Amino acid sequence: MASKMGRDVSPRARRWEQPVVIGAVGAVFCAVVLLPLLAPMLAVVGGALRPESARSLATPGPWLLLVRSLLLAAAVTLVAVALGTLLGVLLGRTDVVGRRVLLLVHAFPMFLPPFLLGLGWFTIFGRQGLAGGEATARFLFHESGHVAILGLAFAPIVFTLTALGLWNVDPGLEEAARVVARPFRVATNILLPAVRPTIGLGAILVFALAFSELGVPMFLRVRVYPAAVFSRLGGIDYDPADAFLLALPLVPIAALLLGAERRLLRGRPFDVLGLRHRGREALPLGRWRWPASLACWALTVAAVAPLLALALRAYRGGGFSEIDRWIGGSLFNSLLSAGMAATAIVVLGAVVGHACARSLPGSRLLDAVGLLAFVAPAVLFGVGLIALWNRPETRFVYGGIGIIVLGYIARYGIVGVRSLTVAISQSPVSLEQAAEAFGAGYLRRLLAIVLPMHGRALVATWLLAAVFCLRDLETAVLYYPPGLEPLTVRIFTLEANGPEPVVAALALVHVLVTAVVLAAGGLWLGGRGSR
Amino acid sequence: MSDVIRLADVTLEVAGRPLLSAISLTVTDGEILAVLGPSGSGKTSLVRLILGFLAPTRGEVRLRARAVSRDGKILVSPEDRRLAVVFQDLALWPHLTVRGNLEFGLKAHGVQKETRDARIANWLGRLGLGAEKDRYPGSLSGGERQRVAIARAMVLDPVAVLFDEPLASLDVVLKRELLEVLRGILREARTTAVYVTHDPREAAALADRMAVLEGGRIVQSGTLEEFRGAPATPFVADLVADLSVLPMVDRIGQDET
Repeated sequence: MASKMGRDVSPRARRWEQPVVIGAVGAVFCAVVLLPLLAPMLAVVGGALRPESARSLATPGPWLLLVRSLLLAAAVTLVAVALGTLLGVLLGRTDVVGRRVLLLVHAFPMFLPPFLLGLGWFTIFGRQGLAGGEATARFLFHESGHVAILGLAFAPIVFTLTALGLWNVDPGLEEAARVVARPFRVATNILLPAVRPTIGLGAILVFALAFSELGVPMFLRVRVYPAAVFSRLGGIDYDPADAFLLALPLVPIAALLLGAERRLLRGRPFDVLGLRHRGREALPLGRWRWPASLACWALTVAAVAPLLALALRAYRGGGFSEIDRWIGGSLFNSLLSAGMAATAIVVLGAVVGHACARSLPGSRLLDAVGLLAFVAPAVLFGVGLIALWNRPETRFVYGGIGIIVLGYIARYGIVGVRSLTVAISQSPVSLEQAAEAFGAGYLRRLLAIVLPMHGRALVATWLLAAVFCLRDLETAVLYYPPGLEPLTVRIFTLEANGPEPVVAALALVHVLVTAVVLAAGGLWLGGRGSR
Repeated sequence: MSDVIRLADVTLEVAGRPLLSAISLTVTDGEILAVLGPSGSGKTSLVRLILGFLAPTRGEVRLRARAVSRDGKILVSPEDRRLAVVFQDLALWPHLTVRGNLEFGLKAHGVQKETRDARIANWLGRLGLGAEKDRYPGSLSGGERQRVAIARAMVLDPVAVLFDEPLASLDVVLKRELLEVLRGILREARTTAVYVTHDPREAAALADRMAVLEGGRIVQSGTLEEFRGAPATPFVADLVADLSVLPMVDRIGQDET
C-alpha cells in the first residue's frame, strides 16, 4: 500500500508539495481579497484624486457622518446582542415549548438581505401599511426604524452563535453547576460566561454588517457614511475619485474589527463554534416556562410578520402574475454568480480551512485576510473592486458576470474557510498522519483522505456560501454590469419607482429561493446518516 | 445508622435499552461505598441517577428517607438534593477563580458571606490551596485542579459526595497522593460518599464497603473480606485476585512503582 500511495511523487517533491500548494492557493486568495482593499489607497496615491476632492475630508461633514454611522451601527449591535443572546439561551438550552420549530424560524431571517425585511415592515407600518399611520411611518423613516429593523434582522446571527456556543459547552460544567444551583443561576453564572467570546464574535459580525448596510438606510432615507460613498458612484453626486478618498477612513475601521476578532479568538481552538452538539436535557424553566414560551412565540411572529405582509401585499395587488415581466434575467444572474462563487469558495476553503484546522504555517494569516474582507465595510470593498478592475485591459472581467463572482469570492471566502476549518478540526489528525506514514503526499492526503471524509461539510459549505452570495446587495450594487444585476439589486432598484405588489412578489421569490437552498442543505445533511 | 442514599429495585432504560437492572443498595451515614465495574457497566448512569439527571424507569431513589425520583419521574431536582459531585474531568468552571469555583455553590445555597469566607478558607487550607485562591483552573497543575474539585464538593457540607472516577486520568504517583488526601478528609469529616471506579485498588483503599456492577446489575456487595471469602462471579474473583497480587489497602501505591 505504501508504494502504491506514494510511488507517483518522489520524496523530495512530496516535501515541497504542501508549502507550494498552500502558498499558491494563499497567494490567489490574498490577491483576490487584499488588492481591492488596497486599491482605493493606490488610486489616491496614483493621482486619480483631483485637488478639489481632497478637500472633502478636510471638512467636518464626512467625519460627523462617519461618527453618526458608527453610533447607529453600535445601537443596532446592542439591540441584536440583547435580543439574540436572550433567544439563544432560551431556545438553545431551555425547555421552551416548541423550541425546535422556533430555532428554525428565528434563524431564517439571517439568510435574507435586511432590506427585504425593511420592505416587509414598511408594508405593515408605512403610512399606507396594513397597520400603519403617520406615527408608525415617522418611527419607521427615522434612525429608530433603522435601528429596530436592522437589530431584528441581525439578532439571528447572535442568536445562532449563542445557541451553537451553548451546545458546545462541556456538559460536565453545566451538570456540576446544576447539582448546586437553579437553572437561572446556571445560565447566567456558568453558561453565559462560557460563551462570552462567541457572543463577542456575534457582536463584531453584527457591527460590521450594520455599518456596511446600504439597503435599509437608503430605503428609510437615513443618512449613513456608506451611502454617501455610494452616491459618489452614481447619480447627481457622481465623483468616483471622491468615493476613493471617502473610502480611506474605512480602512482603519476594518482593521479595528479584525483586531477585535483576533483578540477574541486568541488562544482558542477553531472548533469553538460547535458541531459537537451532544444530547442533554434542557434546563427546566419551571413556572417561567409558559411566559418565556409566549414571549418566544411573540418574537417569532415578529420574525415572520414582514414576510407575511409582503405575501399579502403581492397577492392583493396581483404582484405574483407580474413576476415574469419584471424579474428579467436577475434570478438567473443570482443563481449563476452565486453558484460559481460558492464553488470557488469551497475550493479555496478546502485548502485554507485544512491548513487552519491543522495550524499549518501561514494559515492564521490567510484566515485573517479572509476575515478582513468580511468585516471591511462593503462600500470600501466595492470601491476597491471598481478601482482595480474598471480599466480597458480588464474590461472582459468588469463588464461581465466575472466581476460579481470575484466580489463574492473575496467578500465571502471566509465563510468557506471557517466552516471547513471547524469541520476538519473535528476529525483526528492521526487519520492524515497514518496516510502520511504510508507515503501519501499532501495533495493525495487532501484529495483521498480529508475531502472524502468531509463530503457533507463540503456540500453544506457550498450551500452556505451560495446563500451568503444570494443575499448580497451592498457589494454587488456598487459595480454590477448593466443587464447582469442579481435579484437583490433588481428588487432594490425597483423599490424606489416600481409597483409595490411586484416588488413584494420579487422579494418573496428571493425568500423562496433561499428557503429552497437551505431546505436542500437540511435534507442533504439530515439524510446522509452520521458520516 | 440511618440510610443516606437508598435505591430500591431501580431499573434504568434509555431508548429501550436497559442500562441498570433491579439495583438495590443503601449507603448509610458516614459510609464510603465504592461502586466497581468495567467500562460500560452502568457506573456513570448510576451516578447521574442519584444526582437527578436521570429518572429511574422503574423503582425509587431516596435521600435521607425522602423519595427524590420514582418510576420515571424526578421528584426533587438536582440542585435541591444537597449532593456534591466530582466528575472524572473535574468540570471546574474555567472563567471562575479557585475561590469563585468554591463560592458558586455556597452562594446558590444562600450561605452568608462571613460563613462562606470561613468555609472557603477552611477547605482551601485543608487541601493546601490557600495560595492559589485567585488563580484560574487553566493555570493550575493536574494535582491542584483535583484538589480544587474535591474542595468544591466538600465546602458545601453536602448530604453525600459522589465521585465519578475522579482519579482515572492521573499518573500513579499523583493518584497515590490524592487517594491519601481523599481518604483523610472523608474519614475526618465523616462524609457519606459513593466512589465509582474501575480500579479495585482505589476502591479497597477508600471504601468501607464495595458493590460490583456488571452489565447494569449489582452482582455482589459487601466488604473486601466477604469478596475474598466467596466471590460471586469470575469478574469479582479476578478483582480479588488483583488485590492479592497488588495489595494497596494500607500501602497505597507502594506496589506500583
